[in-house]
Amino acid sequence: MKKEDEKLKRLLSENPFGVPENYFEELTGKVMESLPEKGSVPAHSRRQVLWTVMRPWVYVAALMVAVLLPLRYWTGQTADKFAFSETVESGLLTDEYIKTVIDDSMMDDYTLYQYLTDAEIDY
Amino acid sequence: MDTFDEKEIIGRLRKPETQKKAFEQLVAAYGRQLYWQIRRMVLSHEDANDLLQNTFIKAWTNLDTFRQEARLSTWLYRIALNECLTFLHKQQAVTTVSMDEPEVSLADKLEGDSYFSGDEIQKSLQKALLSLPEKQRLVFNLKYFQEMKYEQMSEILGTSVGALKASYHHAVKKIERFLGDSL
Repeated sequence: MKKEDEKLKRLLSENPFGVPENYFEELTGKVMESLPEKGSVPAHSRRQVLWTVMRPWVYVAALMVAVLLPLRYWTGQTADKFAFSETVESGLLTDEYIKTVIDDSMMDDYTLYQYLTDAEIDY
Repeated sequence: MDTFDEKEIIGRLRKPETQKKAFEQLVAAYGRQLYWQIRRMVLSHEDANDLLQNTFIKAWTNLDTFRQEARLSTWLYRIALNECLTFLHKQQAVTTVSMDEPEVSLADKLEGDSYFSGDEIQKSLQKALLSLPEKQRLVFNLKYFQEMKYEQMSEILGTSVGALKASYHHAVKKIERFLGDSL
């Protein structure tokens, strides 16, 4: 076991990897040449910056839509209900309109009677 | 490295007029050790060179985000190792599509690399290292070849010292088992 450890250590101490001639001597210069100018931000970074700035506003807008859309739907429905009851109260429902609605609902007289009785609508 | 005063360099990196010169000193101080860490992860010189360049470009473009809580070397290692892991994941995705084992693909690259002069036992050792999970290989390389302290490694990798020690221990055992009769 000891012998194996020694062999592994020796093996690991060897460096089988080489580099081109003068690679490390020229490395700093080559890296410095490849650096972008500080002012010139790459396109993808510009997009990132724009997204970072816009992100809170996008979240707020999404939240507003998420809150206001169901609210508008609900208030819209309520408004419609009021509009309907106002129409009923003001007697704007003509006999012709009621006949059309009943015909379209395809209810027979018995079902209609049951429906009106359950709803306790007093005409 | 003797003339490298981290505090002074950080101060100069913050000033636009001295920034570039200070960065040049940073590259000169850490270029070589970062190269070897990257090279031992990706094996090929060309890939290591590209990743090293990317590391310094990222460091340069993100200089403003550097916080002094970490050491410059820790910050640079973190960027370099992220670059390595991203590269290896991309390689893995390619080899998954081509149905090859990722370590086989990297070992194949080694065969054709003119900057690799190892004999058969060295190739076996590299294959043993490649058989380790990526993070275990990172820990092994940082500890064995860079002689990095577990505390600094912990800062770079965000893993506890205990877990790193265990990881290193497992890595050594696996390498020994992999090489088996070759030793």
